[in-house]
Amino acid sequence: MFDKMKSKNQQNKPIRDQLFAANESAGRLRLVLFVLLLLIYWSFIAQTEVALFAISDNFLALFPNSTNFTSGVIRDITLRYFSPSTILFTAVPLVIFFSIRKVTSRYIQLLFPAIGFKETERYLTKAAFSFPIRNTPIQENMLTKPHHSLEHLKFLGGPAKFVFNPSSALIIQKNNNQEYLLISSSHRRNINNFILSHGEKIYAFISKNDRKVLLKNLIIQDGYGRTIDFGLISLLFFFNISQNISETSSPLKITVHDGRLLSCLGKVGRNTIHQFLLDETRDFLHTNASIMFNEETIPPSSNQTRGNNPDIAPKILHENYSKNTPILTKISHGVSRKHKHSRYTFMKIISTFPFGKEELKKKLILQLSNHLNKQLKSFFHTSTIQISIIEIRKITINE
Amino acid sequence: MPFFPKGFSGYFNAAQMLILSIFRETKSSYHIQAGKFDRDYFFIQNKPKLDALLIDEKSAVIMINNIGRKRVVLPGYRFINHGEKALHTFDIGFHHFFWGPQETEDLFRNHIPIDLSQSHLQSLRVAQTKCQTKDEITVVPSFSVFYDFSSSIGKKHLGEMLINISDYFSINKIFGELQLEINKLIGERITNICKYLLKNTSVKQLTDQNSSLMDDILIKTNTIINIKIGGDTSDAHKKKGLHLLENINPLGQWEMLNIRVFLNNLWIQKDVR
Repeated sequence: MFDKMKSKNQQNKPIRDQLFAANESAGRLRLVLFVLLLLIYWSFIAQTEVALFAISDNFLALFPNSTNFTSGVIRDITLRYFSPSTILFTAVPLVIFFSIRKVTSRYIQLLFPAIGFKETERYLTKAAFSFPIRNTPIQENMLTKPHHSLEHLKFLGGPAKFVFNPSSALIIQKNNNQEYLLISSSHRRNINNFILSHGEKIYAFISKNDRKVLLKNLIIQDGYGRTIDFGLISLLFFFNISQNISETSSPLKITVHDGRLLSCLGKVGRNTIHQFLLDETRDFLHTNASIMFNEETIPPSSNQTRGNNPDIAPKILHENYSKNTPILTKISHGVSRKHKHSRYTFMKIISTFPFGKEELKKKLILQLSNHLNKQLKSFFHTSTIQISIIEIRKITINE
Repeated sequence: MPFFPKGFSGYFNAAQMLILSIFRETKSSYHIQAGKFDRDYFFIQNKPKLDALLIDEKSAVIMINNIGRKRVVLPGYRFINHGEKALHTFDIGFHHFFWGPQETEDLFRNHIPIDLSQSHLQSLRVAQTKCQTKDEITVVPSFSVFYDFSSSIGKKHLGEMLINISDYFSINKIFGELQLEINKLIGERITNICKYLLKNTSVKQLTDQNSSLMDDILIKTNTIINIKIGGDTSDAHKKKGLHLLENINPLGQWEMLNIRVFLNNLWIQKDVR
């Protein structure tokens, strides 16, 4: 099954990529071809006058005079093939190859000191001959943290073969046309044994944990002056892939915007994305809580204003402005440990949101995820990447 | 990121660098990651023999030559021409910063501060966003600001905008890494817009629980700060904000800056009268 998929995948690639792909049989075939070419070249040199240049009397003395026809042929062949000038001219391409490899390795090492000279030489030899490549197991967070053995996959790219967790996702960047390809279990059935071809490099590696966003301490104030504590809201980034695409084995092309967002999730930039989602969620809840938790009485005045400006950043109000009291003065009195960082006065809980009303919960999840996806698209210009709410743990209303 | 040279001059530079690297103790290529040099900026500024820059995908550099001509150096492995030096560096990824006091700060306290340095820092943060209403009540908002150098228009436009930004900061004698300076500039423009909008507002309007005034102010702030000169101004908020354009310059000329502002918190001084 896997072999079929692999061969299908290989067929889709241009001939140059197939030759340079980290494919064991192709690599061995190319090695055999190189050896054959070298032999042909050696024979050619041996048949020319070059072979006779360096045949000195001392060299001839090593070979006794022939006594019959067969020994004469052997003597002649040996003389020509092992003449110092033949060997010198035959070795020239090899010397050139190894010299270029050395110089290129040095050049690459100057660029990426983290990779190291020997690692670079190994990479170049693999790229030249496609020697059988060992599997590189990639654990969670291996690529997000500096890891010496994997640096070359990010900087230099393939050929390489590795194994990674099916719950993770990988973005590959093609060097020639700057395309971004997404590899994930949601559209590719077998990602346990992944081949990174020549000309492709790893742009980002995103584990499932990277795609999770936990929004904590979400406390907002509604139009009645009530504070609503949302406890914990869990979000998950997912790849919105159509059924047809998910059935094919070829990697999914994604836009540069999707690539940027995903790469941020796997790096230090994730805090920016998390903060953006937190601010958007707070804003949405602040605007809509009054309506959602008491639909009949609170007029959606602010919502109407927003309706005219769908792409404009939403508003947020966290303070009870009517009291004109410094914020911490309020918080510091009778604030429980749990609400130490809250911006609101901790008040007596009079009601816990009746989560028997599943419809309301579903409505909140639906509307919030629609809002977040709209804002993600508006600010980050995403298309394939979407977000869904996987859990709203507990809602507590304080008065 | 292409790291092999292009063209004859590229190969010549690479060969020169390789040969010189044999005799040199110091390295001849420098990395720029997320708009930051891997070495001290002034070291690179004063180093005449800077050979090459490896610029990551989230960065860009403005180089300037002896006659003051600038060029944008985008991600990749780039050789530096003779007489050129790095003038400005940009982080062209997503950005977020807070503008104004921290959420948990007690701004209008009566007691004497214990930690004077903390108190000083707080007063600086307050000064960033301090506004007054029509009835002379002090209002201090704090904002959460996101911005991005949108890459949807193309590299050419990005290059032009980076040159514009560089020109603006060069006039103001600001050199080196520009991220904090851009943050500051955006923050100041947000404050200017808020000041303008709040000076026509009374504190009673602000504190009315049923009023959505602060929400409206934030919407207007977002609209105005994203207005681009020559862009579409059919929207009512944009029309109203046009006369504030002088307040948001030069942001109005920087087409590819995509800014989003959230109100983080708002402090209103207690009316002591």
